[in-house]
This record gives sequence, structure tokens and C-alpha cells, in this order.
Amino acid sequence: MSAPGAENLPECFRGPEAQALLEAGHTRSLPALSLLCEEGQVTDCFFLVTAGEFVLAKRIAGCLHSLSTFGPGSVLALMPALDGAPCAVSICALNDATVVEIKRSSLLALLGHDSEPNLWLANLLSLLAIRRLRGATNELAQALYSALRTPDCTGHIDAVRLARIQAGSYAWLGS
Amino acid sequence: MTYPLRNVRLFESFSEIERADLVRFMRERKYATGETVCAYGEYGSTMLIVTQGALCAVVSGKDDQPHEIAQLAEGTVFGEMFCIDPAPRPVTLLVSEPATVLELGREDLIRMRQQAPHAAAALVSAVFLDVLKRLRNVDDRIDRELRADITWKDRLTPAPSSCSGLPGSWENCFASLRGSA
Repeated sequence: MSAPGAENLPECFRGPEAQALLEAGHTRSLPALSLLCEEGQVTDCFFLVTAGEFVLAKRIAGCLHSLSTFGPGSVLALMPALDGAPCAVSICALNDATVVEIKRSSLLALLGHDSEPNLWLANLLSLLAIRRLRGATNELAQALYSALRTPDCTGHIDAVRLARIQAGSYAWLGS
Repeated sequence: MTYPLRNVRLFESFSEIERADLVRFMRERKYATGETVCAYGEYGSTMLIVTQGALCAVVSGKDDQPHEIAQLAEGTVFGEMFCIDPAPRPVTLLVSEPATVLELGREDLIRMRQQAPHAAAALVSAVFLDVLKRLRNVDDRIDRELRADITWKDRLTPAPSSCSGLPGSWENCFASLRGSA
């Protein structure tokens, strides 16, 4: 039993192992402009996008900045769902979209069993998290280094560039 | 022999059996002072745990001289991400005091998944949660930077009208995105 739109997911979510994750959640359809998660909100759910596109945005100095868009196969808001800290960005459907919504407790229950599918899932999530951590630390280091090299030596850091790095931690591509 | 792992934070949540299983799949290596455990840029696929002695992490500076950036004392875990996702080492590890190191490679973890799945699951989950914590640290650091940045911007210069984030609504935000699509 596959979630609607599961055929749009990347290869790593199509195997029988991924079914446990898809079945642990429930499918939600969202009309365009629906807010999935608002900046500052605490969530105990994360989302696997099966159709449509989402925009990640953040308010910086009174301006709402669109930072990036993500489509099918993306894993949204996993970090805040697991650690319970507020979202630093807002996530909103850019057009009609479908997601599989998975609760933290469901994921932890899956990870708590040492069956082969769950080991596969833990490994996949670890890989995504590790790659994001390496990417984010590299990007942050580069942003800070660039700031140190500004001609006026103010150390001014481009806020949108920083927010984009932050947004990357709220949306992981499954491929 | 599970005592080397008892006081290691990463393995706090492990049962004695899981710790014993983990140690069973690790290899012990002994190093003399001055030896190189791993070199910067070298492809690494192992997690290392210092069980005796001490290592130091060094990077090359502009002057090509090694600069010590951290000491790895007994109980320190290094490179736990590498046995899940091998990559070039970000630092060189040198032995500063004769050391004993336990090593778990990617291949060992694959064997562990088959032969001791409970310990493998505990390890991968522990690394995953640890990575998430570090990712959150990066997130918090960015928030702190942004708060400082906002203060500067607000005080010194008004946001230019051409900025991609227009004041106000989601509709503006979408319009800018759709325009660039």
C-alpha cells in the first residue's frame, strides 16, 4: 500500500523498506498557499513531499524573504520535529501539494526496532543529516570568512545568505 | 571489555550488551608519540575512540605550519559520522601521548548490521541524534548572527526596495519566486 504520489519520490523512498515510513504517516493534501509550519512554531510532525512544491521563507528586518523551494522527495521539518525546538523558517505550499505527515513518536517507534527496514531507515536519515551538517558548516564557514574579508572590515554578514543556510536544515532532499 | 565505552557520552544510552557488541566489532590499535593516526584530506571511513593516551587535532595554517586546534583525551570519539558516510578527514590527528585507539570502519558497521542488529541500530540512532544536535547548534549560531545583523541593518540602512524579500505578505514572496521560475 503506497501513499498517493509515492511514485514521485526518489529511488531511496521506493523500496519496500521505505514503505514502513510511508505507512507510519498519513497523507495530507494542501491547497496552494497553505502554511505547513510557521516561523517560531513548535511541531512534532515532519513531512515527506509527494507532490507539489514548497517555499521556505523567513522574516528578516521586516521583509519576508523566500529562501528556497523544494519538491517531491524532500523531507521537511525533520530537525524541529525531533528536537522540539521552534522552526526558524516558515514552510508554505507554493502550489497544490501532497505530503505524508509523520509524527515524531511514529518515527521513534520505527527507529526503536532493529529490523532490517528500520536499520535502513536510520541509516538513510543519518546520511541525510550528516550531509546536511557538513554542507551547513561549510557554507557557514564560507559566509563568515567572506564577512571577514569585506573591504570596509565591518564584518557584515549577508543575512539572506545566512538564512538560506538555515533553510537547508529544514528541507532535506531524499535523493 | 566494555569499560572503555562506559564513560563515552555518545554511548550513554547503550545497554551493556550493546556496548559489548560494539567493542566486539572494533579493532584496537596502539600508537607511539608523534605518529599520525589520520591525515587531513585523506579519505576516512572509520570512527575512532581514544581509550588511552591522547591525540591532538592539527590543521595547516597560512605558514604551512601545523596548528593544534583540539586535544582528544581518553573517552573522546572522533569521526563517528565517517563510518556511516566516508569523506575526506577535516584535520590531521597526531599522537601526543602513547595511545590506544578503538576503530570501527564502515565494513565493520555493515557486518554489525547483520550480526548484531540491535547494537548497530543503537549506534546509527545515536549518531543520527548527535548530528541533529550539532545541526541545531549551527541553526542557533545562525540565529545569533542574524539578530546581530538585523540590528546593524535596522540602525544604519533601510532595506533596499529591490530586495528579494518584499515587506509584507506571502503573495509578494510567491510573486518574486514565480517571476524567477
